[in-house]
Order: sequence, then structure tokens, then C-alpha cells
Amino acid sequence: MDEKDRHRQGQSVRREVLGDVHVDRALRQRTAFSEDFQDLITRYAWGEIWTRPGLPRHTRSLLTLSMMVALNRDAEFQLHVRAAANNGVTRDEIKEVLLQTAIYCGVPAANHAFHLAVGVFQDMDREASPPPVD
Amino acid sequence: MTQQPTNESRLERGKRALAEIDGEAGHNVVAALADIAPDFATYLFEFPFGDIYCRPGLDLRSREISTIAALTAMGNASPQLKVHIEAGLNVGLTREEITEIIMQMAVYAGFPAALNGLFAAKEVFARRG
Repeated sequence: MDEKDRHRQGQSVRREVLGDVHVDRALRQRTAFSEDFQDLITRYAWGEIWTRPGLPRHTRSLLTLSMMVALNRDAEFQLHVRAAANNGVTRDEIKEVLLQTAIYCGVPAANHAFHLAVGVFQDMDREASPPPVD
Repeated sequence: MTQQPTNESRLERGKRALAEIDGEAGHNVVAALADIAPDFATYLFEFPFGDIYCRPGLDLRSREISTIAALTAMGNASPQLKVHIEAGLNVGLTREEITEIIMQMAVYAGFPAALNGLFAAKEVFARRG
């Protein structure tokens, strides 16, 4: 597979996992400063790793969430809570992952992650049922 | 300690405090810095020991409890943790108190950090016999 194909395949997996809204926004916000990085993560993270057949995406979502808690990456954690839903991870499963992080990362890390996850769930619910238009 | 003659410099005060708190372990750290960064040894005397440990508001036992907790939670400061476990014993903490402090960190920093801390303590306790 050449790099162009890898980019194409990565972009398609990225859209499936993160959703069109996020990817379209990332592409819109792309600048000369950031475009090489956008290209790199599309080919590498999405085209190389997330496309591998060895683990289902559901599993990749679970382990990514726990790593984001361990590494204290708030914004990426929030992003991957949404991604997890796209990959068929239930809220109860996310809860189990976060309970487990309390053992390995400490209770404050897990507590913070619970707050972040609840915020994302609220946003998702609001988007799913927008207020009626007058 | 901690109450010092007013004309004592930060450096002198820090040297006195380091010797009292860390004993030989502290001396070894300073000696190891002599050929690569002697100025850093001076900073070590002056700032943490001359300025902070000598403050009157908290006794040395309490200061070592907080230091052992912080170094355990950081998880990447094992050599310093061992020095401060020694220091804790020097200023009157018991081995049981030290293991309790470290175990409590499992709640705040996770089990791996607490496990590494307990094994650091085990090493120090064995060395002291």
C-alpha cells in the first residue's frame, strides 16, 4: 500500500471512529502550520494502527480510554468517549474502564475522568434531541 | 532543630539541617554532585533544607511524612524516596508509619506507585537491618 492509499484508508477509519463532524472540523481548521501533523496522524494513527485487524475497534476504544486517563490527556479522553460510542462501547462499559483506572491511576484521576465523561454524555444527549425550533 | 542563630547563612543552616535530617544518605548525594554540579549542591543546601525544612510551622516528622507521600505519588523519584525513607526513620518515624503512608498513596496515585514505594521501603529497611 502506498502512502496515498494509507492516507485514504486512514481518513475513512478516522471518519468511522471519530465521526464526520469532528473530522470535518479538523480539516476545516487545518493550516499550513498543522497540515503535516494532520497528514501524519491520518496515515500513522488511523491508517497504520486503528486499521489493523488484530483487535476489534471496541477493544481499541477501551484501551485508548484507559491510556488517556493514565496520561492525563483531558481533551483526547473526551474525544475518545465519543469515539467509543461510535465503536459500540456502552456507557456501562466506559464506567467499568473508569472504575479500573481508579486502581492503577488513583481515585482523583478516575474521579476527574468520570466528570469529563458525564459532560460528554450530556453534550451527546443534547445533540441527539435538539430543542424544538420556534 | 529548626530554630537557628539569626546570623547563620542559608547555606550553613541548610548544611546543618541536611546532616540532621538525611544523615549519611544526604551527605552521599552532595558528594556525588561535587564533580559534575557543585553549585547544585549549594542550591540543595540553601533552598529545600536552608529555607523550607528549617521553617518553624511544621515539625520534621510531619515534613518527612509529606515528603514520602509526595515522592511515592510522583512515581519517578525512587532514589529520592529511599533517601527520604531513611530521613523519616532518622527523625522518628517508625517502619509501620512509613508503610502506612505509602499504602495510603494507592488511593491517590494508584497501586503501581504504592507498590514501588513499598519495595523501596523494603530495600531501605533491609539495608538498615
